[in-house]
Amino acid sequence: MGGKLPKYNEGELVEMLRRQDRQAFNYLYDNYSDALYGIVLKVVRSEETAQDLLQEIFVKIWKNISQYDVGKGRLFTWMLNIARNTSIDYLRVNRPEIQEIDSAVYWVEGNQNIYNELDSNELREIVSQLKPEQQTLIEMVYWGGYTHEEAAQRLSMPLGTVKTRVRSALRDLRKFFSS
Amino acid sequence: MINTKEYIESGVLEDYLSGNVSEQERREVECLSKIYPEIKAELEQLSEAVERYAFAHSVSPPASLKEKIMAQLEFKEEEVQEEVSTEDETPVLPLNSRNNSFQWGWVAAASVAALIGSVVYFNAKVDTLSQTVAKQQTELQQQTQQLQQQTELVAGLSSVDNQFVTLKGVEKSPSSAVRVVWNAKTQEVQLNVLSLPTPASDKQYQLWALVGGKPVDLGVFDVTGSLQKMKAIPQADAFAVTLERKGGNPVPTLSELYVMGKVTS
Repeated sequence: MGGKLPKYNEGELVEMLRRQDRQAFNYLYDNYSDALYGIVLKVVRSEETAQDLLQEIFVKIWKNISQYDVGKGRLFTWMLNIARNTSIDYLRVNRPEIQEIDSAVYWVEGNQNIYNELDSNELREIVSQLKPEQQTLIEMVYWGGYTHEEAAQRLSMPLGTVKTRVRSALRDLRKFFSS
Repeated sequence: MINTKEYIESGVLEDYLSGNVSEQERREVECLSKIYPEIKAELEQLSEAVERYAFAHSVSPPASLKEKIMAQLEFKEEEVQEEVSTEDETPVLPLNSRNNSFQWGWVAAASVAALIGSVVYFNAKVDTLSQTVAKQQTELQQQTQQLQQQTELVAGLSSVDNQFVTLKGVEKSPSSAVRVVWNAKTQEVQLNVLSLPTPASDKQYQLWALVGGKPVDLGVFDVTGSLQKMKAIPQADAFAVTLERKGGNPVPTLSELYVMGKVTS
């Protein structure tokens, strides 16, 4: 440990994680914990809970890394799934009342604060090209664990509209990133 | 042969990434993206966009969290030190093969070296073992404490006259929740924090009962997992929690209202 960590590609990193290499975990945590924590925090909205869940998530990643199939997609997508499922399970099982308290209004208001959390100006600029409504949808559906039906209900939008907009939000985002 | 352009435009890849697909669609996406490079490329770019979005909204967890997590993981350490010490043991082997006194000196020296090696080796083992024991003791202590809290919780809740009021988070802190247990007979009020943000060190949460529209102070409390006894009240329409200065305030600061719940009669 100590000093600057070398940079690994995903394949090398996964290989080392499977060998239970300490250095590899250091690297994984240092590079991905902020992004995953940001997501979990958005879903559960309590720092204490988010920290407990982040522990659970990293332990799950560590224990299940042998199940990750490089051919099926990016490492982060796989980790995002674990993070999303762990947070949603928590909300559904432990605190069903959260679902009631939660309102679409909060999601929209919550988005106004996002900008303070960004640490990279460039990324921030790109994301701000999305309409606030698109951001809300991305957050609800891609990591809030909302189904299209639930999002439609909460935002009082027709289901078809939600489906189209969720897809187009991601497509726009992709366009911004690649241009 | 499928029309990959149509497949990509159908939106199923976006739905796959958000988890909004059936089991069959999921397998289809995974299978087709292995067969068709253009589908794989599309999926890759879309996941990259999601990834970057997540990175744009990064928030750093407290630094102490990393150690907490690492303490729960088992690493395969490189066993450099142990290998060196076991190598010292090899010179013991010539013991039976030679019997001249000059050689015996060597054997003795080698034995001593081996002994030292073993001691070093076993000391290292003992060190790791005692670390493990210490870790397990702390875990056991934590669990015992948790169990005790739970037992108290169950004991405190078991009266038939108890009424449970869940105070739910308001806009300020939607994920907060507090449970109040109110015994209408004994007028006793107990409180259990389900989730509240940790307050600054000069602040404390305060419980209020609303009686005929007026707030009545029921005392301050800390964020712990156990059931806390508050001031008794004969009558209440609702309960609420605000964040106040340490020790509490005579009237609630309404801008610092965290949770609230009505008593159902």
